[in-house]
Amino acid sequence: MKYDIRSKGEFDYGLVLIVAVIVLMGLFVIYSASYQKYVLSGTNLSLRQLQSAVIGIIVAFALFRIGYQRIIDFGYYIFGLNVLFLVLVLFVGDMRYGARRWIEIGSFAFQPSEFTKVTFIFALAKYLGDIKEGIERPKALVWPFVMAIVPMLLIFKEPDLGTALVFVPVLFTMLLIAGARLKYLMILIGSGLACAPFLWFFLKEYQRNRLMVFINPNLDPLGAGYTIIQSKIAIGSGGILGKGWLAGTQNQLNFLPEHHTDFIFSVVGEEWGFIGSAVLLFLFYRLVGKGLRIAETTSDIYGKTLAYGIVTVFAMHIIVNIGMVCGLMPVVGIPLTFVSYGGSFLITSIACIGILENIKNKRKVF
Amino acid sequence: MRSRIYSTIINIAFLVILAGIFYLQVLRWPLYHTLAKNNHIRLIPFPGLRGTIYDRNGLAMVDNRLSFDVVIIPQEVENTDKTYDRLSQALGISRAKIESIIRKESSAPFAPITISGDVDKDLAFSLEEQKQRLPGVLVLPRTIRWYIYGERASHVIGYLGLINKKELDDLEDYGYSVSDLVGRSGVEKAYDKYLKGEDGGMQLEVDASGRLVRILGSKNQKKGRDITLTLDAKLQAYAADCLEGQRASAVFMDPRNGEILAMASSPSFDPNIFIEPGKNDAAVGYIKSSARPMLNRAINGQYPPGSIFKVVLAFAALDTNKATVHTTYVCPGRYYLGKAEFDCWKLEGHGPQDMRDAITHSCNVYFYNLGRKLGPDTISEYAQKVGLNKPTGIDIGGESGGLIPNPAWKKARRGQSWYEGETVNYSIGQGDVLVTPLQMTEVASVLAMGGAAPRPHVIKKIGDTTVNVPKPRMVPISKETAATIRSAMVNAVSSDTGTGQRARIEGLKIAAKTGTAQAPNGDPHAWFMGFAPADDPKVAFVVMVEHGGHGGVAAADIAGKILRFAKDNTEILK
Repeated sequence: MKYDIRSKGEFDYGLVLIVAVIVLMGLFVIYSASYQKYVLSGTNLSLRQLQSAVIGIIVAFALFRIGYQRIIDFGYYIFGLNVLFLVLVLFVGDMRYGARRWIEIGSFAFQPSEFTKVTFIFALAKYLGDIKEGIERPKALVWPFVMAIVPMLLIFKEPDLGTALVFVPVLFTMLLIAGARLKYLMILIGSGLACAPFLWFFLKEYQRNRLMVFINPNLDPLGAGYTIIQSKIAIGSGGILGKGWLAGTQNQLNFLPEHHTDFIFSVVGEEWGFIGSAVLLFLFYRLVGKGLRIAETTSDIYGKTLAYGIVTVFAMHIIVNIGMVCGLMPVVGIPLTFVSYGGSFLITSIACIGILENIKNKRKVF
Repeated sequence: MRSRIYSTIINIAFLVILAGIFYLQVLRWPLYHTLAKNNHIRLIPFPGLRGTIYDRNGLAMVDNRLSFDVVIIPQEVENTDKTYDRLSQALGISRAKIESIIRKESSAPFAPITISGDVDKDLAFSLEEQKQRLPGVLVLPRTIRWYIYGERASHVIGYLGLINKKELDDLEDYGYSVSDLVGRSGVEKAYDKYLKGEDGGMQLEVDASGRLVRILGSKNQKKGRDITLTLDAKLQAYAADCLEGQRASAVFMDPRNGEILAMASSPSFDPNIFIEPGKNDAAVGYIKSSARPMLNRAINGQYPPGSIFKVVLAFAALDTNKATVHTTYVCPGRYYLGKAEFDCWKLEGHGPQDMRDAITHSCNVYFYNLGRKLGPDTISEYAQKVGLNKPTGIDIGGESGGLIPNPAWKKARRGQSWYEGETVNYSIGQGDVLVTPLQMTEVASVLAMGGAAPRPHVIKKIGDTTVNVPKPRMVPISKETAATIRSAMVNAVSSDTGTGQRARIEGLKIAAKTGTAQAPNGDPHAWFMGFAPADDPKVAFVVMVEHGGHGGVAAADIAGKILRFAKDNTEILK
C-alpha cells in the first residue's frame, strides 16, 4: 500500500535509473567484447549502441507523451504494417550470418521482428480489452492464436527460432491475465506440445544440433557444442571477482563466438566475476519486479495486459538468454535485454520502458 | 491469484539462474579456470637431447636421429575425403583408422594430431612436397633415440621407457616431467641423470584460431652429457653375433683395470622397439618370452660353475698347504664314498695326476680327493676370497650375487646337516653352488693378475671427465700358487690332452679352464674361463652356453672365435 501512495499517478524514477545503469554496464561490456575489433578496424560498437540508446530514449519519450491508449487504438494497423515488413524481409531482406532478418534503408538497417514483439502486444491488448469477459468463450481464443502464429511462422522462416518462440509465453501470459479459461489454455498448450515432435522436422540442421548438444555438449565439442562449452568456460573461469575489464582471455582471444551479441553475458561473467553477474542479475530482477508492480496495480484491462506483455518479453529474454549462456537451457539465440549489442532490440526495449511509465502515469486517471 | 502465480514463476526462474551462476563461478571455478588456461596457453617443448654414448674408440653406439611424424590439423583440412584417402594410401593405414585416431586424440581446436610416427624419410619428403595440395597435413621432425647396434649391445646399454608415476614423484625436483623417457636398464638407467638432457620450451599465448598472440617466456634446451664406454663396439658386436641362436653369454674384461670390453647375452632385444611408436606388441613379446631376452645373462644368469670351480680348490689347497704342486692322486675313473660312486668324466680314468695335470685334464677324482681333504668350510672361505657369493659391483647395477654354500648356511637355510657327498660334488662346482659369468670373469682376472681383483665397469668417461676407478681389491694369493694354476691353464689349451685345446690360436698364449655343469633338465651347461696373453694378460674372459654340452666344445669354440677376432681386428691384444 505504501508503494501506491508514494508513486501515485507519478513517474517511476527508480525504473529509469535501473535501466540507465544496465545500459551503461552494457556499453562497457560491449566495448570490451568488441575491443579487438576496435583495435584492428577502429569500429567502436559501444558508440553505435549509445546512438541506438539515444534513439530509444527519444522514441520512449514520444510514446510516453502520446499515451498508450491512443497507440492501442491503432494497434491492429501498426501490427498489420509490421507483419507486412516481416513478409517484405523474406524477399528484400539483407542476408547476414546465414539469416534474412534485416531491412536496409540507406545506411540504416533494422530487424522488423524485434518491433513485432511490441506491436503484437499492442494488437493483442486491444483485442483483449475490446472483448473483455468474452475471452472466457473458447471461440475468442482463435483470433489471438492466429495473431501469434502468423508472425511466428514468418520469423521462423528467416530463420530466427529464438525470437519466434518469445511469442508463446507472451500470448499465454496475456490470455491468462485477461481471464481466459484455464481449461482452454491447457488444451491449447497440450495440443502445442503434441505438435512439438512434428516441429522437429521443420527445424534446420543447425537448430537440431543445438538442441542435441544441449543434452550433451560433448557430442560435438568443436562444432555445435563449441559455443556453449566456451561460454561455460568463460563464465566459470571468471570466479568470484572476475579477470577484470578487457582482461578476459576467453573473450579477448576470441574463444567465444557472438560474444558482443547473444553471448554477452559470458563476457560479464568472465571479466566481472560472480559479483558482476549477481549485480546485473539483481538489477534485472528489480527491473522485472517494478514492471510487474505496474502491471499488477493497473486496473485498466488494456494497460494491464499491455504491461504484462512487456514484462514477459523482458523476463523471457533475461531468463532464457542467461540460462542458455550458462548451459541451463538450449541455445535458441535471443539477445540479453539492454546489454546485447543490437539497435532494433535496444530501441524497442527502451521504448517499452516509456510505455510502462506511461501506464503507471495514467493508471489513476481511471 | 493468476498474477501471484506469474510472479512466483518469475522469482523461481531468477533464483535458478542465480544458483546456476553461483555453481559455475564459485563452485566449479577451479575446473573452468584450468580449462580457460589450457585454452589459451600453449607449451611448445624443445626436448633436450640425451647424451650420445660412444665406445672406447669413439665410435657412436647410441645417438639421436631425426624422425618424421605425419600430423594433421583437422580444422585446416579443406577436402576431407581427398585428404584422408591420400593419407590412407601413403601411410598404409585404413581410412577408418585415421578417422578414429582423429576422434580419439582431438583435444583443442587447431592442435596437431599425430597420425603416424617415425615414417620413412622418403615418404616424409614426398608428403612435404605435396603440402600445397594437402592443407592441414604436416610433417613434423622430431629427434628420437637411435640404438645403432640394436640387439648386439642392448644388455649393457639398456633401453628407455616412459617415466611412471612413482618415479615422477621422486624425480620431479630433478627436472623430469610426465612425458619423459627414462633409462630402464643398463647404462641408460645407471647413468640416466647424466645422459638426460634438459628440456626447454616456449610458452605461447594463442587465440581461438591457434594463432600466436605473444610469447610469454622461453627456455633453451640443453643436451645431456655424452658418455664414453669401455666397450669395444666391434668386439661387442662380434661377440653378440657368435652367441646368436643360443642361450648364452660372454664377458671380455681387461683384468688390469676392470674395463668391460664386451658383454653379450643371448637371446637379446632391440632397444629401438621401446621408443618406436606402435611397436608395443614387440615390446610385450620380449617381456613375455620364455627365453627371457631382457635378462642380462652375464650378470643375472646364475649357474653351477662345474669344473671351472676347480681353480678355487687348487688355490685353497696350495694356500692352506693341504697339497703341493706335486701332490698326486691316481684316477681310476671313479671315486667311492662309502657305497656311493662318483664318476670322473673320463670313465677309463686319467691314471696318476699331479695338480697341474688335474687342472689341464680337468680330472674329477683328483678334486674329489682334494675337496674332501679341505672340507666345505675351507672351500667356501676361498670361494669368497676370490669374490664369489656377492655381486662384483659393476656400475650398471642390478647384478646377482650367486651362492656359495657351506654347512652353516645349509643348517640355517634348510635345517639340515651337511653330507660328505655334498663336499664331493662341491669340489667340482656342483650342488648348490651358483655363480654368474661376470663373477667368474673376476676369478679369471685374479688368476691373471696374481691377486688383483679390479672393479668391473663399463663407463670410461662422462663428458670429458674420466671416471675414477677404485683400486683393485687384493686377493691374498701367493705368486707361486698363481703361477702354478696359470701354467696348468695354459696347458689346458696348448697340450694335446688339454680340455680347452679347441680354443687354441696361433700366436696367442691362452690360459683357460673348461667347465661342464650338470643342468637339471637337458644337456649340461658349457663354461670356458680364461685370460690372454697368459704371460701379460690383457683380457680375461668367460663364455657360458646354457645346455651347451661339454665345455671343451661349445664354449671354447666361441671364446676362440672371439679371441681371434680381438687379435686380428682390435687394439685390445696389441
